[in-house]
Amino acid sequence: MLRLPLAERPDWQATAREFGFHFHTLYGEPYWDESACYQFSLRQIEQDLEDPTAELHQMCLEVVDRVVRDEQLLERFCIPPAFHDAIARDWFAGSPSLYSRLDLAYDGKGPAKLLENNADTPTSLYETGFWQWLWLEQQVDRGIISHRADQFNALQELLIDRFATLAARYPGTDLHVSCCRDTVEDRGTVQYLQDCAEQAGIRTRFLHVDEIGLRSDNRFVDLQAVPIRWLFKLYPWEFMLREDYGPRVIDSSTRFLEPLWKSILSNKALLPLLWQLFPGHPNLLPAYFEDDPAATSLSHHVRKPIFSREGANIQIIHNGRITAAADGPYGAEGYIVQQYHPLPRFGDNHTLIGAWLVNDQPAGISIREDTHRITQDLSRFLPHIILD
Amino acid sequence: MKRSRIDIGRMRKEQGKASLGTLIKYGAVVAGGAFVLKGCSSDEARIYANLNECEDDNPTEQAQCNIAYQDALREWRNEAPRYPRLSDCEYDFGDGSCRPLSQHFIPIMTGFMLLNNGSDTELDLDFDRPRGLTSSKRRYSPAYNRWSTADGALLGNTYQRKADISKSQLQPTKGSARVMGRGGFGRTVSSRSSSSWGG
Repeated sequence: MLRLPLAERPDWQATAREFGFHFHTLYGEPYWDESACYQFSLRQIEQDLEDPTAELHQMCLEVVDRVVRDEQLLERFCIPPAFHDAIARDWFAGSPSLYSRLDLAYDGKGPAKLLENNADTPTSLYETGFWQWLWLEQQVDRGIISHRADQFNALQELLIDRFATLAARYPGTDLHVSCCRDTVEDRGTVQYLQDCAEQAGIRTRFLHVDEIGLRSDNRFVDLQAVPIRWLFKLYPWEFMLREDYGPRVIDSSTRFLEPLWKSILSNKALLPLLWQLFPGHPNLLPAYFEDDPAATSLSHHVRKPIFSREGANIQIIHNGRITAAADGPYGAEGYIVQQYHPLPRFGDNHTLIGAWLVNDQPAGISIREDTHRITQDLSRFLPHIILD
Repeated sequence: MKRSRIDIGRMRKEQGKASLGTLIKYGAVVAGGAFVLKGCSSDEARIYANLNECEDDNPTEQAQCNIAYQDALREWRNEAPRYPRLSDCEYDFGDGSCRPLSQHFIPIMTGFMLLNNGSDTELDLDFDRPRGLTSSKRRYSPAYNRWSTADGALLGNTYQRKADISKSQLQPTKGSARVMGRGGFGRTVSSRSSSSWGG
């Protein structure tokens, strides 16, 4: 695993416009960064990232299977009691999922360590599935990168395949897709999913999350009062369950992507449960609920709220002293602690690997860099290659 | 090769135009179309014992039948009476008439019903609101060989394919469906600030 400085494509910004990539620069800071790329060996990709990703995902599903059967654990996961049965039913009914992203700390040697699972609303999908793919195509065409170089990135192809499978399951059903207002990044992510769904023959319709309506017969409807039979929502279940229409989900005929049971996976309480079920697993870090007496055994640890996104409200604590912290709105629901495991450094950069899955298949990786030890939403996205 | 095969032409958006362009166009077509909700109500329903019967009765709407059937099944899982023991369920519905569902047992859905807003000769079925049905094989059951809804309303013999539901317990689902409101999702985001809610 190497970090290679590389010539940027001189015309990449024009190419971004041509392909509709509108959020390569956020708040005046570069988000897409092709001034360097990461190089992996095939062995590193397959043995250290791809296989553990598949295994970690199966371990996470075992946690779900355990939690849905246990009232006390559901409470530990801060799932409102009204939804306990509904989540269990959704899980036992086998409601299909679409995708997720595991965040891994990996330095090219040693086992990758799971930091968290973004199973409900992962973003940076377009940059991963298409834009870094296009970067490699063009750099190879121009002779900047060897034609022998590959990339671990079957994300787009697997997404389209997955949509085709789901389309066969719900023939003739339109897919509504939804995200919040005023975020070009989220809108770009769901537009990409619409593109993938349409390539699988599914008709899609977009609406904002707050435009979803409720009909007197308890059906969710779009702006034309057409029932929403099938909804992709880039909006976290932990918010939805606590909002006005949350209870309406329980008896809804709408099928959701991600499904309701993902509210268990996209929850930091997953981390102590994984450690409890698979103690000592090479791809896991010791983790405990903060009020567990065992938590005190971790003198150097990361404190994470049960609900948290984009690195918000995370603290790094060493012998009782906070050595790094990120602000944010989370934490009311309690915390977990996880053994501190530093991200590998390449120059001034702390590097985080996102390992993608489509359903249960490892689908590719993305790389984020931050000069801060806690990776947040302004960290830069860098492409990668496989070359032995 | 560990990379996708991608049809790059399909990924290109028009120069200078936001990717929302096609959606806005499509949205306009939908909004201009005739999406009028039915205000009338019906007292008559069609009953199908399985998906094939629905498809045979509605050859041009087979996809709708399929969706209605799947919806009915899904609703059935939520609505059907739940028994902690298989023997209790089979006592009410008959041997082999029950199946497990999340540590419980429910009677198997053996039919589904669609409201008919049209006439006997010109069906106008409400595929959006199917109801699952079952029946009992136990002679001592009031639902013996009779269609029964999840909440126990009886609709006539199982050889029948129509039902008069004017006096049944189905009132809450018939009649027009109004949009009660919007904005029940999305509120959390306005009280916090971030560029994205992904992670």
